[in-house]
Amino acid sequence: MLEAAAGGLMTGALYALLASGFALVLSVARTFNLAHGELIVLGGYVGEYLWRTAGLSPVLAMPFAALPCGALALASRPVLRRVGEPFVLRALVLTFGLSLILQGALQDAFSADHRLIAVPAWEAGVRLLGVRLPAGRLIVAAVSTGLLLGLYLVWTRTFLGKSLRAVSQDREAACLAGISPARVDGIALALGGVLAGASGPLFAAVHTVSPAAGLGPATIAIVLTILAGIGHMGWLLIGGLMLGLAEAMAGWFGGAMWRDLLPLGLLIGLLRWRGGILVSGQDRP
Amino acid sequence: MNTPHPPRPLDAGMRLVGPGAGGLALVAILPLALGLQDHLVYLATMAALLALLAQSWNLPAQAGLISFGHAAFFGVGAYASALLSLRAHASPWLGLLVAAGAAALVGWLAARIAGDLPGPAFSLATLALAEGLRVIALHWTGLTEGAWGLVGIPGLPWPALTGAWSPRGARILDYYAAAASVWVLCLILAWIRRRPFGLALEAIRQAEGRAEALGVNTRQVKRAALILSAAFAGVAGGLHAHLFRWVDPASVFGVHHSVVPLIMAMFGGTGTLLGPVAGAAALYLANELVFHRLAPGAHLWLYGAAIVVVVVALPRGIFGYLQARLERRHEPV
Repeated sequence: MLEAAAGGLMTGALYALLASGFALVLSVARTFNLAHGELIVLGGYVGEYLWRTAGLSPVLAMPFAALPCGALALASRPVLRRVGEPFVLRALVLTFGLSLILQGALQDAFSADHRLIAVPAWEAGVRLLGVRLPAGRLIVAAVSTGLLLGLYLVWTRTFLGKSLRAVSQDREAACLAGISPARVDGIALALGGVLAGASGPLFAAVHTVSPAAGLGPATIAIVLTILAGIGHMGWLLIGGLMLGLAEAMAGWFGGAMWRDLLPLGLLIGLLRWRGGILVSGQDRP
Repeated sequence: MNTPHPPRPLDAGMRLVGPGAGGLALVAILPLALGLQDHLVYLATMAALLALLAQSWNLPAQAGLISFGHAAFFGVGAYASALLSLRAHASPWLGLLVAAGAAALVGWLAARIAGDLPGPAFSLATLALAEGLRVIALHWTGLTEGAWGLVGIPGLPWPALTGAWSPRGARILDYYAAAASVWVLCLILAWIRRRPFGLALEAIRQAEGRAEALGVNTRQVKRAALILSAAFAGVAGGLHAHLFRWVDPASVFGVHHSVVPLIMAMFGGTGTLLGPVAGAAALYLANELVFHRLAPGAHLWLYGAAIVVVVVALPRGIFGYLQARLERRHEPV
């Protein structure tokens, strides 16, 4: 059980990374990006391709996976700008459509097979505090946590982070301070895509990817973002660890069905509790 | 608000007789027009099935409830009808009724847990509901056989046809079953449209708070719309089960059956009566006759592009756009 709990915490760190790009885009650009899961899967496919052809480790493949995803997210910007009112709901439907196009592209480019990055060296066990943990999961968790800490430092300590936070809190006031919300939106979208793509190879190292696999990470991203709240990047890691642990415990005590139902039930509960925060950005131009 | 005076029920009913009869005639002669060719009749049957699902999706959408989870109702209907005919050897006709009832129950549940949530939150909650039901159907192997699915579901029990008609006649009657369901649903929706219920749906979509202040019981209206919509989506699921003779969690509860009605209805035009039917026929046939052959993922390209075009350029859908243009032409300048 201790091993299950540790495994859950390690998965939780990855969950937080999967959610980070989504939370950033929703907080700043007020855009509910349902194609986020497909971007993660695309990153996973890029990582798998580099691993299969060049033997590149998933961690080293992250920048290569991040670039196309960031570019794609940025490319969706002109389309998003033409979305009318009610913006939040329509953007949701639009990104739903974009996710279908991405799924079609993934299926045509990589076929519908399930792929997994299985690094042999990552299968080895590491003993830590009396618990035996697979090395790969530990690496994934460490890299995720590191990346999240970096993002948190950017968010709180840099000028870029300050302008992102400003736009997230009050678009008009940000304008008055000389920040262009439109430009910051673009930066947030690109950064969100980069984070989604970068998390892809890590995701593909612990979970199989297929063109239709985007819904799982997207659900997790939505759950964690509502849990953490708009503009609270720091809470993502805590929420992720809690979700990973809760899932592991549900799987340990109740079996696979309860493990899979947990995030979905949690999502409905969270929507009932504070679903309003999704709509609060409706006054967007 | 300047709403037209609701016509007396009798007037509203009388006005439907002409178009209703015309629609029925069209439904009846279509197989003949297609030359009774098996493949074409099959395409028409599937188009009718999807039109039923899209049209059922459109009802709550008229009140601004954009469901991302109609697969929940579709799948429950499919499993209810399949299980009843497999385990209890009941007639598939009874199965379709039970499918409607079971799906209506899930519709009530959806209204309970998501009906009062703001727009995007409602969409996501319905998505989670459908996914949750898929997970349950996958793991509750004692009832559903899990990922293997249920096989050997009986087809719709038509009176025995003999000779050259035996397989083909049944397929044509299958088509009539699906098309007749669409016809009934269209009639109900046309009837509702100018009645207080339909006006209340429209009022909720335009300004929910104001509708409530004017005395519309918004919660009850939304619940009724969801239950009715779910019942017909359940019938579509039941028909699917008896036409394909097998169901499994991924096929009937999969996101596909949530995505497709949304896209088809929005493409045709959410606010229009026949838009969803036209959208379903147009997109399904475009996919089967053209896109399907280009690449394995081409249907996703088609559906995705259709929804992007609608959201960005044609908010009222193809049918709504044409309607608006026609009306503009008839207006005195």
